[in-house]
Amino acid sequence: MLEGNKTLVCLLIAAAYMMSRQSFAETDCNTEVSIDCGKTPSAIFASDGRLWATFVQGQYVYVSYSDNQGTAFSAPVKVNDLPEDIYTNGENRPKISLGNKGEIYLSWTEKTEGMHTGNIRFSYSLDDGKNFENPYTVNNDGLLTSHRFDQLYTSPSGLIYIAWLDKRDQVNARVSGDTYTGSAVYYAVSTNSGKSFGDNFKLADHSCECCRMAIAPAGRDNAAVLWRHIFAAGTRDHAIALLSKDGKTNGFDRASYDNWQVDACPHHGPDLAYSNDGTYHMAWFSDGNDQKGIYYGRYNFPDGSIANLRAIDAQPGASHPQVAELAGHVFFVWKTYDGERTRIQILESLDRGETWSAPRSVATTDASSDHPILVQHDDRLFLSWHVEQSYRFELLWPESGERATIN
Amino acid sequence: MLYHRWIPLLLVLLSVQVSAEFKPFQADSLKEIQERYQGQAFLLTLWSLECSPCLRELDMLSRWVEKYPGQNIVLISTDDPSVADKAWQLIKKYKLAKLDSWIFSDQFTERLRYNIDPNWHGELPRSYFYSSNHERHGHSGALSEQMLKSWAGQLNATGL
Repeated sequence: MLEGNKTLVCLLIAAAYMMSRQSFAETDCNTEVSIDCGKTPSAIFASDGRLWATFVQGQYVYVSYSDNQGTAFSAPVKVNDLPEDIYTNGENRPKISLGNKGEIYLSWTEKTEGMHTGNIRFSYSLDDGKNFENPYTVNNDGLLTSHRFDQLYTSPSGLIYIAWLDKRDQVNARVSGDTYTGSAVYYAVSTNSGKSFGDNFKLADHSCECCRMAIAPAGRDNAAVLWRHIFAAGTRDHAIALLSKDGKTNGFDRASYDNWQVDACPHHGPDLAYSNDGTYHMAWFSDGNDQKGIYYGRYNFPDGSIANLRAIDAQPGASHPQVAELAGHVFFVWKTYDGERTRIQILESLDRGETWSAPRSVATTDASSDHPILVQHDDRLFLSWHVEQSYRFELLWPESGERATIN
Repeated sequence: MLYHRWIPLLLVLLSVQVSAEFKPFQADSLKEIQERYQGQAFLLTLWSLECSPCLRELDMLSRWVEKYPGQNIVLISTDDPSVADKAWQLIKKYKLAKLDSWIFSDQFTERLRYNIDPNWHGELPRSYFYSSNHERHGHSGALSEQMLKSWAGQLNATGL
């Protein structure tokens, strides 16, 4: 009798789970608004364990949350009342960040008229995601040009950073008959919980114009950014810098020496994660003359040194790496495609990237898929991955066996 | 009677689905292209609306085609078919509408890319110079007129 009840309970739980996440075949994305039907989601955990996610569907940004680690999501709340054309690709997605008092911050890139143009948009909620303030534009030059590839970060002290790639200097150069290579890296800071942003600060001239940047913590007030830059002779390797709220920086430093001389858009940006020892884990792709494939390196700001440079995967189809550190473990995740299946691979290091485990496949699909994104909460690591018309949010670490020992 | 009012709208909607000017590029389309140019040299160029060096390249190709019409040049847009109209406007702007033009027509773009060349990572523009026996070499980045001249020169030198 008891066994029978257990079976029934299991069946009910399984049925409830299946109903909560409809399969692709049952989902009618013409009528349904959901993270499954939407495009290019981003997700972040609040300190209370609630998972907040943003995505784009049609001409709207939406926010939804999950209290069971991505199994089911709340009814999405529309962020922008007025429709906008919004960039939704692996390199340019809506971003979400949280303040210390439950504020929800969002940024995205609006497509504006003409080719390769856009505005950096920002909105926020102060009532736990029930309502969002009217979005506003953060770039302040009033030019119809490229302000795109936003990155959003909130410091422990509550400062909101948005960094992006900006072509205002190219426009100005053209007006005076000069040429200007690539974009520039600009950023702005809000010191009033998103009510407004201060000046637009220029960090660097001549960034690559079509790759996502990466942003990571730097102490209580600052932020660190990593991006693909155009060095001399059109070499599209990486640069790294620290941002501060008053716009004062020490310039930038070269972070990779791949020697990729190419007059092309790689559409393939890096990732950056803060390490507890004060250094930064970097993950990137290059097809350079000196380094080809997916790479890991650990950057040290004080002396500009790069430690533990490792070639991770030089196979064709290896792409879009992500890196994270938690509880003394470093995780490196990337995507592979072998002509038939896409796999998400993971590596683990217990010595800050000096040595790595053998790669392990943690997710797979034979459908079209977004970039993999790592999301962490306390000492748990999750994979956020949109695959065709379904959103996957899966625990990567600790694995189930290890979890038993932790609990 | 009322239904008749919807027919023109339906026709418009249907015509938006498929752009008459682009051929849909799918998993087996490269084979079709190679068969079409069997025994002939050709240039295959991949481009996208989202890539500014691609526009410089299309501009250069525009001038090249004007100077040397009748060359085998195949263009493939890696954009989503939903922006086919916008992409075609650009093709027309650069006076390249007479070239063989395709657009990626499978959401699974990694598969399409891999079928073209596993060693191509999606950077744009990307070109392949095919010889008449279809040996090819790839190039990432905007082509220059000098590169096309050198390619055309090689073809002439080998009597192809």
